[in-house]
Amino acid sequence: MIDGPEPRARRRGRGPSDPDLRLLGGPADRGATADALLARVALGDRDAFARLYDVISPAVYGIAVRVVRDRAQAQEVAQEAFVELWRTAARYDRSRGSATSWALTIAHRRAVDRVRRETASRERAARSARLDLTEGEPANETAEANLDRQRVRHALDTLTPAQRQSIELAYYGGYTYPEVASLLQIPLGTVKTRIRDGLIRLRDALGVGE
Amino acid sequence: MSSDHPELDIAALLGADALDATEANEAELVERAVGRDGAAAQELASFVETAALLGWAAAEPPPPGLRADVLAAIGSTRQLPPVVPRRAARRGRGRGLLAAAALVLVAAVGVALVANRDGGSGVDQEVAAVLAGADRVVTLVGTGPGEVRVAHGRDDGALTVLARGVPAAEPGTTYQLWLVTADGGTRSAGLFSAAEGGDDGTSTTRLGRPADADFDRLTALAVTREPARGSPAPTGPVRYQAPW
Repeated sequence: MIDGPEPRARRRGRGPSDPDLRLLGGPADRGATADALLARVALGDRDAFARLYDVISPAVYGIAVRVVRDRAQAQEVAQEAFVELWRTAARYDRSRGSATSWALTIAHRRAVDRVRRETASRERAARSARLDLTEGEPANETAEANLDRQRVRHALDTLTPAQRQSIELAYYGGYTYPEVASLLQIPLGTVKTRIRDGLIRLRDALGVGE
Repeated sequence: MSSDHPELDIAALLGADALDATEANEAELVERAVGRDGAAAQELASFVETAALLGWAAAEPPPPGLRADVLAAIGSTRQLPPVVPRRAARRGRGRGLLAAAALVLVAAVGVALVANRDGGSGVDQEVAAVLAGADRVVTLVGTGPGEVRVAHGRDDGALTVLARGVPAAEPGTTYQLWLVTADGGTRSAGLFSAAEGGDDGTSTTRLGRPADADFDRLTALAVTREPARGSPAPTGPVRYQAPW
């Protein structure tokens, strides 16, 4: 890894004078970094894209693994998501949200599209049994991912069990809300409400938008 | 309030939409609703940010080969141009020139008001010209994907259909636009096929001015799918609709 393209790309821009690279101090810094990089990616800057990859690839890949549950497929999904990110970078609309959330939305949609094409309900049922975020952490995860996980876990703890279950099935399980309703045998309106109320609580617990 | 379909509670769908957990048609409805409702847009954005944190919590190191694969793949992938939007004025840095050019175009043809009311993001000059000459544009949505905009010409009273993301009519069938009056009466306004066209997939079909149509009495527009030559009265289920 030492001689790969990654260190070279980083070295070029690294320095206190480069605001893009006050990297990885936390979600806010990460967000500002990704915003700045994406603006350059939209202009065709491949170095900026490589650096954006370094910032967000753990999340992109992690989402894909969580949703599709198969590492080979998750790798394909992550690659598709990055290519889509590159293709559509000029269409990013910052009024709709941060660069990272946009990128992770692309990754999540790609992953969800993949599992929704699977018709084998057997596989989907198998996935649903393994959704809990508190189940084992991946080997050699970064300190940062660990922090994110802790924060989100604490925030999820503020939800009612019913809210939490609906949100986890929808986001990590890749189920539509009618599917969630069917799995839990509750009315559609109830699922919509649980997801929305749960997201409001999560949002407040995580300090989104503050 | 923000929806053409008050029976569909868009606000209740925002959470599920942020988790990509809505059905495709609903996602379209949400998309259109937040285009005109700032509060809904803000709430959706906050949910999307929250969902992203759920994503970060799942982060794990990607396989080592992925980086090189991705960089190789983008090396042979052309980037799409920006969509020059009706919300050009709100766009940020980086696309200043294009946004400015779009603003000039919009101002020159005088469609700013119409464009603000309608949900599309038309890029074709033809589409822009139709919108510029319209005194009314109605966006129809429904059970099918995409949306159908109907523009009513200011000078000639002609109707033009702008279909975006609507599947082309199957062989032997056509889409038919109906003018619906308060008493439930329907009158055909013409046929269109929604073949692909335009940078964003918008197809334009000029239907002309419906004979002796009284637009003041119209309450709604509706689209059904009909046999290729059209029908005297709608026979299929309503695919797209909107109040007039």
